[in-house]
Amino acid sequence: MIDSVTKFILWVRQRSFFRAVQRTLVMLMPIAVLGSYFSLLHDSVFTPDGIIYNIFNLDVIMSDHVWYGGAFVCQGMVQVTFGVFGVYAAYFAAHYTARLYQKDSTMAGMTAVIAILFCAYANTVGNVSEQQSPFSSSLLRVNGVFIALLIGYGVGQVFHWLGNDYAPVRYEHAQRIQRRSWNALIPISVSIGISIILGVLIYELQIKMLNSGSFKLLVRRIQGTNNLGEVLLLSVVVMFLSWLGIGYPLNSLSTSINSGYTADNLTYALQRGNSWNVPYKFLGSSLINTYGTMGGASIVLAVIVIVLLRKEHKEIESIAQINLLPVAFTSVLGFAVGMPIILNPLFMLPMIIIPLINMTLAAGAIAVHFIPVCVYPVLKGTPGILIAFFGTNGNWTTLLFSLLLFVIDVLILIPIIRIGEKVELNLEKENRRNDLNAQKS
Amino acid sequence: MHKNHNFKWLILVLLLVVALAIPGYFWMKKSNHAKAERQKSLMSPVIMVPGSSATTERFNQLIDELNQATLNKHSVLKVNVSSTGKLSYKGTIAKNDLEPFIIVGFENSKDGYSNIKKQAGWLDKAFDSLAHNYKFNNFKAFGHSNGGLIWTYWLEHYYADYSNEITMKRLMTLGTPYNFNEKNINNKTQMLETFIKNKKKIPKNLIVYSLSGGKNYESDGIVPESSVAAAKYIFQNQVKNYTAMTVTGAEADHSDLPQNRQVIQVIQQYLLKPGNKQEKQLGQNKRKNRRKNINK
Repeated sequence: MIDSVTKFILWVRQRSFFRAVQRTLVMLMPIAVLGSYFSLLHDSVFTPDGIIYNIFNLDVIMSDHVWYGGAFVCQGMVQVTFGVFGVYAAYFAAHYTARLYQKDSTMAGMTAVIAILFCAYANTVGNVSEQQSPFSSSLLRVNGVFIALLIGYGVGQVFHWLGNDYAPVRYEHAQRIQRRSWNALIPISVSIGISIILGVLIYELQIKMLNSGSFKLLVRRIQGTNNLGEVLLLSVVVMFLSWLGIGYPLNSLSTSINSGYTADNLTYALQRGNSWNVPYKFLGSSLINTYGTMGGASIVLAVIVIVLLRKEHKEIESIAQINLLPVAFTSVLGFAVGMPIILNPLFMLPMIIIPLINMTLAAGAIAVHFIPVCVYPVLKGTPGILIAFFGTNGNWTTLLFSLLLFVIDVLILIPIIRIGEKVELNLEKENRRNDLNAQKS
Repeated sequence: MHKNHNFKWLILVLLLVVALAIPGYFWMKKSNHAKAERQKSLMSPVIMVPGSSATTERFNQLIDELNQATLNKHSVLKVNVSSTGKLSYKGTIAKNDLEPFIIVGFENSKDGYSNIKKQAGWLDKAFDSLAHNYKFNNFKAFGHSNGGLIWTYWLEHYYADYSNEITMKRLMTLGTPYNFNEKNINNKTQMLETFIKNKKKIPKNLIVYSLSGGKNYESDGIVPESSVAAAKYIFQNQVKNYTAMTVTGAEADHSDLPQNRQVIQVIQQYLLKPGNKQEKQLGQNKRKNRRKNINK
């Protein structure tokens, strides 16, 4: 069975979309790591509800001057990495798609940047509630990277069908570059034509693409339901979307906790001094982030731990090392992009099923009064494994339970990682064969 | 088998998590305890802000008369905010007083929009400290003249920081010139324009009373009635309840308003906790104390 799974994943990985996306994401790893370190710093130190901010009482001990300076640097770095991640993603997706078919990849990348920026422009002009700058468009943020990858892949395909064959050369003089531009005229024009049509559609139909607003309905539904079945069902949708690279729903689920239900729960717990019998025990808003994803620990941190312990693959091991710190403190995007976990066929099912298992176990434990309900607010940047512990006002059984869930998640992921290694091995063999063929010809 | 260097990294991060978890644990316990205290607190102070050129002594007569008229004596705390934001206190809140009066005055109590903005910032400094020290979860606001403007500005710019934990239940403004000295409502001052622009930030469950004095048919001698009435453009259709009242008679002058009999009655009736309820609570306390004493 494992062999057929390996074969299937290998087959998916060899589709042109996944080949281009895989290369793109791996290429973008440094940008994502940079972003995740600065967003960790921002969330834990330079936000008034950050964990380090509060523990070390930065209200008092850090002067306004230093704090605003730090917040400025962090916000700026997060903005130029994660804020405009779509630009980089579109460029490289087009680049690697065109390269698959031996077309002019640089021209394709450039065209993709124009295409996505125009769509972002149309999106912000049509959307009154957002800041009126294309660079603030939700289309470009890392949480919407799927759209950027699609646009890049689309432009790459236009070059595939309409572009001339092109082989990069070592020495390139100006005349040759001019010829390159002229050769790319038709695919550039067609791509831009399509992106104009797309932009006009976005503007005319006022498609509020991808901002947290368009997922508000979904998010509100999850936050407002106390029905475990519904929570599990909707979490499948949310987790699938974040696997695709649309992280908005999960993101707003883990950052905003201000629904009336959570307030009711908190009031109840504050008045009675414990949260065992709060009115809403199975709220999606409290289950998904605390047990389902555990702030990223249940999947991303678990994968990192396995990779570090197995030491099978040198490159992935270094990516895991560099991402260990931010991921432990819930800043998971560096690894999600670098591994990649996003749009990696290997991780699609685990990413949906592991949260389901975790939440079912947690709901069971809550129902039999093994652990209390998470109702207390948790500071930003709290390590994923501690979220439930702090959310129950320091219930020690809950801490043990979270650790147990983490161990279960690691055990589930070990065979998955093994399959991944097999897929890599096969791909490497094939690459070597391709390299040999290229050398021969 | 060769040694795995990654263990070092894993243990290092684990140590870091633990090192953060220990102070984090105590911080969380303390913060949740404070939240619980606030939630259980029965205190509901009345926070008063005097108008321009007035000090924290402005409401002495009003408070004396209120204390005479009601069974429960309200204790008084006066907070002065210097121009650098330093707080100095005078008076105390009695231990069993669930409805103390807190008066916040400013060293710079000058008139003018730019000063009102500054005063709102100073009010926030005082409020932050009060909220921290007395852990009330709701309060009532009272402002005479410009004091009402300072409250309105505070509501629109600072209240959001507290609204999760502290509710402003009622706001009563007395002779507050929402449109400064402008008689014609069509000439909106910059301040009124901004108040209206930001009205969405005023809490929806607030109850607002705006009182004006009628010395003659147009004004209380200083503030035009239409300027007080401009409050409706800010509060109406935003808060739960907005009521405008006009008091007339002997003491309907702008500066006499705080000691006007009708005004005192209105404060008692609409701003303070209804008397019988508080008496009942006092009674309960008495009963509790007695039970304790008997058990001894």
